[in-house]
Amino acid sequence: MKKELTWFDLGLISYEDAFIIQEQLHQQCVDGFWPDTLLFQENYPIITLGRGTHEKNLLYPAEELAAMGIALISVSRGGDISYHGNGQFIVSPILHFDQYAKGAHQYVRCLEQIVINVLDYYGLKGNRVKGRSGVWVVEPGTGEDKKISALGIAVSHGVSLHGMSINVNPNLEHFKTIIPCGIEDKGVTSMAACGCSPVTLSDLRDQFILAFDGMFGTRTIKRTITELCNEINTIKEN
Amino acid sequence: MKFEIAVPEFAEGAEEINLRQWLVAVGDTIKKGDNIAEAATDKISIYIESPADGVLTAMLAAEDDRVLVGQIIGEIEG
Repeated sequence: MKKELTWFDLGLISYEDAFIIQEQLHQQCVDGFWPDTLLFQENYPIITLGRGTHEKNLLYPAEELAAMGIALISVSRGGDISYHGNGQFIVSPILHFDQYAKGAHQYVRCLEQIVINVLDYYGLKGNRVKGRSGVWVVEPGTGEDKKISALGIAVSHGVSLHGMSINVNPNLEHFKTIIPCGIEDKGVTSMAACGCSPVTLSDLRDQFILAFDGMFGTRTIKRTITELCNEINTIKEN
Repeated sequence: MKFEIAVPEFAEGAEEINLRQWLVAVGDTIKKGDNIAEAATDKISIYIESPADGVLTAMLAAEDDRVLVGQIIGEIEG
């Protein structure tokens, strides 16, 4: 029997609100009351500072960013600085990662391969770049290697949180306020900039779930918050 | 009884692991399973848990040190 996961799509939501939900799901998952979960979201414009952030990679002061409608926050994931905003697909796998891969490093590489498989479905050839995480593509207009998918996870009590993003059609100008992931010599691109036909985030979500299940031999199903809360209460009562 | 705190095996395969920060201090009383330190690779933050109830008696690695899987980074007297 295939291992079952559940998925939720929070839709367009602030990073802070989504993170509160993510942390609560994580704790419930650690405590054994919540199944492994894929949490999807799209955020309003925000720059997140990972544990490995170098200050020089933030190119604008917070006040100027605020004037541009971009918020700024420090977060618990690994990695350097990242931007999230409208038109960007974000997935946070909250799961006992050691049941999916041998070690956190292999788990990260599996997530990258899932993104490569998803991009392939849409006709884009994603690549890894040696020494750099995430997924990269050769942008047709420029012929340059550019990052299309960023990644940063944290692991606490054996359960992962945070995750990865795919740029579908975000405002690429917003990325110019930072040096994404601290990589100075490579730019950022999107599926739209690479000539992909318009893709909705929900279509991409469905393809990601298919690719995830294909990678790990799992079955990921949609359940409502109400259904899960009822299940948790039943478990706790027993 | 002395317990050793090791960089967990699940970080194996990572090319470089840094001890990002200690979340407790020498002399602190801690419980088994508490997050007591954070290690990080280029893209993964890993919280290291206490292996036992007790008092942290030694930090054998400093923040920002490069560490290896299995390396003993601290001791607990339980």
